Amino acid sequence: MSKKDLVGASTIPIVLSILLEREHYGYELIRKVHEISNGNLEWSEAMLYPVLHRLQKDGYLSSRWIVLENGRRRKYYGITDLGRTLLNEKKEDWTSMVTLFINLWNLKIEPQ
Amino acid sequence: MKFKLNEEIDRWKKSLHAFQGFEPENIEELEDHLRSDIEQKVKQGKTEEEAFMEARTRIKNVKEISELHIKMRNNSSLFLLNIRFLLKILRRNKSHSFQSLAGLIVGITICTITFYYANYELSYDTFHEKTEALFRVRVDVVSTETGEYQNRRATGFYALPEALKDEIPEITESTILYPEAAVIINEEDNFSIDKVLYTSESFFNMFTIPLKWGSSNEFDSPDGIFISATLAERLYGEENPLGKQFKYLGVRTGGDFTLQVRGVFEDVPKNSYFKNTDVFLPIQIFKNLHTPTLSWAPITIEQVKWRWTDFYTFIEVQSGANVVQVQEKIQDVLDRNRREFDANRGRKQVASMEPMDEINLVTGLHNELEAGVNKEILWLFFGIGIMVMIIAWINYVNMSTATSISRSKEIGIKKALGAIKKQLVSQFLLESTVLTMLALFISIALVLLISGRISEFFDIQLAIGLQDLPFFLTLTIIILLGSIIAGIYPAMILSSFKTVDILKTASKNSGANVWVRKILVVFQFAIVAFLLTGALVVYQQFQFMINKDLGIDINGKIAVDLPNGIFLGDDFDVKTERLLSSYRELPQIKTISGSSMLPGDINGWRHSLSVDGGESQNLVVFNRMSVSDNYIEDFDIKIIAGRPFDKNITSDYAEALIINRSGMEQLGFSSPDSIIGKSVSFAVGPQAYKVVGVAEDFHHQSVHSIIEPLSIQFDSAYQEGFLAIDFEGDFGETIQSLEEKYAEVFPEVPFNFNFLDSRYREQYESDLQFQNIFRIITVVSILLAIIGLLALSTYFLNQQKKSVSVRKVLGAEKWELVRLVTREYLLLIIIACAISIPLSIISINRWLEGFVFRISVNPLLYVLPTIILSAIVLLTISRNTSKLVNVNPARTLRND
Repeated sequence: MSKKDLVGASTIPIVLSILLEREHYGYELIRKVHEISNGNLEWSEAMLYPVLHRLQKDGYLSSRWIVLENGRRRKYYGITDLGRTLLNEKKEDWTSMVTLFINLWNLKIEPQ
Repeated sequence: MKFKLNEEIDRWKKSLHAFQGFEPENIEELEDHLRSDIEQKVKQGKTEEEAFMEARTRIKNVKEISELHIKMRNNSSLFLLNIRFLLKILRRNKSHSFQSLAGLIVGITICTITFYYANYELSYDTFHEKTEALFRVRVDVVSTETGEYQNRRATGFYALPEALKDEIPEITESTILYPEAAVIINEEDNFSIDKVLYTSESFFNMFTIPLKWGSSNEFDSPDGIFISATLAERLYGEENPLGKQFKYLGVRTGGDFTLQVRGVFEDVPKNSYFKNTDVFLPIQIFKNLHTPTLSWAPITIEQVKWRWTDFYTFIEVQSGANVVQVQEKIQDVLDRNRREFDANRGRKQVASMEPMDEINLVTGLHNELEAGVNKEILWLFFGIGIMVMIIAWINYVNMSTATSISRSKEIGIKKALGAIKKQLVSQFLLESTVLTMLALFISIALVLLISGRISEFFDIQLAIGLQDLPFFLTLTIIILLGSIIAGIYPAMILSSFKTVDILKTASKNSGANVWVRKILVVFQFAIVAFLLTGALVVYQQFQFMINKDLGIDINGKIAVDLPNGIFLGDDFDVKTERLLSSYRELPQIKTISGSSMLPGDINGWRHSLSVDGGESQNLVVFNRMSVSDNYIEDFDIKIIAGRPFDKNITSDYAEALIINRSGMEQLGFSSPDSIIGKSVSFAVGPQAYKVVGVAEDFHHQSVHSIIEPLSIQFDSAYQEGFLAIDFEGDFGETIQSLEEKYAEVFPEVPFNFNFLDSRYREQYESDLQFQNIFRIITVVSILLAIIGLLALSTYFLNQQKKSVSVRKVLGAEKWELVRLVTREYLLLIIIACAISIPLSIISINRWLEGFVFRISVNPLLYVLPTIILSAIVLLTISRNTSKLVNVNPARTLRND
């Protein structure tokens, strides 16, 4: 699996996990991922916005526009119940993956 | 120049409008994103210009974003993406795809053919512009005493069509039909044509039968004839046929005219009651032919117009007219005109109106122009088509889920890559839909490819054209809906695999899924068992009918048609006698006798008979036939009382009568001897006959019908019928001699012969056709079930490897393992048969009720499919079973 595939695969659970905390807007999400990953994960706008829009279309996300003090409008995304269910599924998948790797590598490393 | 941020951002926004994918909202969102980024960068100490340049570069791939938006919005591109992906998958799982596709193609092809056939039979005479206003009026004879039908016929009286139009205002048009066959004598050749219809000009106003040449106004002329396009081509090739003349010899009317072609009609479509009509003749010609005398009674056609019943009546009813009222009025007309003939005879003429497009679904009538089809048989065809389709769908479901093990990895990876369940479901649904569509196209192509053979087989006209568009659209919708339903289950199963499970072991399905599959298999087997029982019973019933002792010996005899006497002038009797004696001289001839009709022919000569002298009041409709003196002996007909005809007794000729047992009983006599010597008369003529013998009942018609009262008389009427000849020695030589002698006596009439037994069996043609269809469909459904079973056993093979291995390690014998593996299948079959047996019993009994003479089904026959299916199943799974039993436990268990 290439790095690109891995990033692609993890985007949805990451977005959903961040939104679980509170509503975010697009730019904010990119910054957040940058921070949490210590700058290792750099999402591009070209990747994020289509994903957000698709998740919203499929009912996993909700969105609303907020008018800022300077009169600009900003689009905030939030997670829906359907999104929470999806996140739980994804969590199970990823947890099992991670556990698998930990076990796998622990097993190989320990005897040395 | 000072950098103006807002102006730059506006310019950047404008550039976004150039991309199709963006909606204003998207652009606004991106703008906010850009501004947030700029603000952030300005905070970090960058100038507005620097911040803008950096932020704009970050959202560099604006084009990519817009394309993704387009893709999302536009399902078709998503569809194309999936199709490409699908082709990849089809190629990857070649054998699975092929099996699924093959199963679907077979199912859809059978379904299409059966549906098309049934739909075709239902489409009879729907093509006329006025179909909804057109009706056939027919007249039955009903006993006033018992209310039972004495005679159900397709025809009515000569005077009926005209009277109905004149007396009932709602009837705007009416026409008459009288059929016959004819010989056409042209300059170059003479040949027979089978279907001539005498009718009136109004026929062409009522029915949509377009003219290729001429005009319907010219139909009513004393010497005009309308011929079919096919006949015109045969006679005159490409030439304009109008005005050409030929000689016409009517076989039934004896008409001998020179006629002029006044019109050429397009061949009547095959889905019409008037199909295969070669010629239309004005009824006026028929009328002229029958004045002043009729052959059987010295009266004019005017005198018998309310008594002669060989005419078909068709009417056109005003739109909006109340059909029930019209029918009552018709009955009233009939009652008024028939009163004097039916009074004191214990019977009544009852008219019924049949919508034009339902005539083809009426069966069991006398004098029918074209035999109809049984409505129930058509529904059976629809049912069978659906059953085969269901078998194919179940196969598809089973095969899709059975290959899920290999696909579970693909699904696991996809899910890890972020695919959502909904996407997977739609992918699998798309997969089943595309596969079905592909199968549908191939099936339709296949049907078109073999359309010639199908047309021949069903005797229909399978020329798929625009008119079939609704049919094929409906079929496509049904099949698509079915494939979606059949696709949903595997799609749900496949997409619900959890990454965790997939990674834990090589997939074990939940118990519920296995149950669903087992239920489907039971359902499939039940259908197959049902069809198998049906096929066996249908076969037995038809064998029974074909081999039933008819009570008359028709085997090995040749039937030679005798010409109609009126062709040949006054010395016809002499000529026929000369032919007979010259045949008798031939050394190959063993026996020879003449009769007015042959076994298996539909008899139009029927009259009511009663016993003179008031001994019995019963008036019974008899089928009449005339024979030569040695007919009874030649056909081995058993005389149970009295004696056969004797040519040495002068009074036998034209005065003696032999009746059958049924006739005797219906006349009210309980012992055959008691009617011997009684004087009887037919209602139509003054002549009295003396009953000299009673014959045991024999089947003159097919075993489909009850044995009706029959009277046999010994006179010259047979001379316009047939000769039945029993011969020995070489067939070819015999026929040659017969033909030569025939040509010497009747040089102008073509020689026509056939085998009596095969001629008789022609009555069973539609039965045999039905049997063949049933057999083909049964074999196909068994094959389909085998394909599905193979897939399923492969699936179980993988499932059971582990448990079999464990048992092997624990020391189980091979036979125990075989029992373990096969037990499950046998159980499924037994459950399936248990379901199908009661259904079979009900439907088979219902089907058999339609036969007067029928088999009693051996109860073992219902169990037989269980045995046959078990054998087929064991054979099918034997390879996989032996693989399983011989599995290497060490390897299986290590892998687990």
